[in-house]
Amino acid sequence: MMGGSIWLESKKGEGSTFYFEVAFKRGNRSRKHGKENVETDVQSVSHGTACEEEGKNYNVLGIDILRTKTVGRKEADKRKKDEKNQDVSRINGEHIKILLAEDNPVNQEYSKVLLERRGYEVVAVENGREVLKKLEEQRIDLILLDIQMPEMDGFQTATAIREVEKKTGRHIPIVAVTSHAMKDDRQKCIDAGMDDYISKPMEANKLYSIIGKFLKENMVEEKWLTPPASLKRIEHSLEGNRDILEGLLSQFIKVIPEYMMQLEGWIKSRNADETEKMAHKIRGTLSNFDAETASSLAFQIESMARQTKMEAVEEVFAQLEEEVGRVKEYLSDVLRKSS
Amino acid sequence: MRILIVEDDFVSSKLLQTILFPYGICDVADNGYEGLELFRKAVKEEEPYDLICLDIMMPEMDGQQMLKEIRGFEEIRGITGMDGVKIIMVTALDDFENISRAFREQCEAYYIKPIDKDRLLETLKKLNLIQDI
Repeated sequence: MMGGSIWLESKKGEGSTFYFEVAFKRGNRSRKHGKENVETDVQSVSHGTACEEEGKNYNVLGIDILRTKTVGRKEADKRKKDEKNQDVSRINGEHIKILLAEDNPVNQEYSKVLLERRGYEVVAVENGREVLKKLEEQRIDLILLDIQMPEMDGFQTATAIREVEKKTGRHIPIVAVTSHAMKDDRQKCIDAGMDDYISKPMEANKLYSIIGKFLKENMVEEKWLTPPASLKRIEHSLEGNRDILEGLLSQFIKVIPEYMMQLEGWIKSRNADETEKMAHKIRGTLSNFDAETASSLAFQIESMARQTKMEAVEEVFAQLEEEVGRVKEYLSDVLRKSS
Repeated sequence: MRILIVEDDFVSSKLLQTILFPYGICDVADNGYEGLELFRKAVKEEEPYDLICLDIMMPEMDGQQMLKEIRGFEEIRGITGMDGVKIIMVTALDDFENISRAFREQCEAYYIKPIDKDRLLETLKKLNLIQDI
């Protein structure tokens, strides 16, 4: 590249440093607007070490962009603690594992750096066969699949993965990495069962947003192995009308805290009649989303109130509140995913 | 077909509207008083409802009370038997007392929540309100 060279150093779990070195001819105009402008004439990026001896001829400029940005895992973890809500790298506290299939070592390191910077755990392989092998060995959340690889190319690999998945019922998101995004390629990727594609050179933000898109979808399912509610019935009743469903979900999310507050008020004032009515209303609205646990807790309160046994109601209310919180969170996740 | 939905929970109400939308024009009320007003008005204007989906536990006037008022109103006007509005109680209450009381007051059907399209339309079909699902 321009007669220069490029190399890198990488340590697992710490991060990677990229180096490159390019020689430029000394420019004619070394002064601009009366300011010293020598630094840009000749540049070498080397973390300030590699070219020091030649400092006479080259002005050495150590740029440390990647190192500062590509923080190691430890630091990334620390950072994540501060940004709890923006934690993109974990599902249920577990690191998201991305399988990176790329035969070119430089490209592989580059992608790895970008991924690890976000706290993703990267499993890197060099060809399609290894992809299949890794998939058998461990849980993978997403695959970044280079199209041009020796032995087994991306298309063949994707097809093989989907074939295996027919038996397991899983669907791992596969993002194709293409060096020249042509229309044909795109269709071929989709035909081979891939979910999306990104073209090289990979742009960090684009990469993150694509990954985020798929993992967000997965997250709802993975986070809620035992969801507190089910939308099956209501989806069927609404004949798949997403707009109405979204409207109902957001209305529920908005209104349920109000209902709960009213219920709490009636319980505190020991008004058995109103407690029964409110608990009943909550049960009715919960039943639309098949929130069974929450519904049965509301029913308990309803029954207790009917028999004017108000002493024990508060305890059940606390349980109901917790469960309703779960239902609300679940439905919020579903809503976020769908919009 | 003219339909009146009396239901205080927004989600259930909207769900009923969506399911019944292809079969007629739906009016909605969220308590018994309001529902009764709409019902009376429709009869007076000689555009009575064909179907009322009636929740039981509601503020102001509950569904059982409203059912009683409706049948009383019809009786005074000489509307009896098959000429009366068809009423389906749509409720989460599944106790014997409520069910038997509703039938005593002459509801046509008693539908226990959750609201499910297939099950609800099946109920409408049994009442000859719709032909095919």
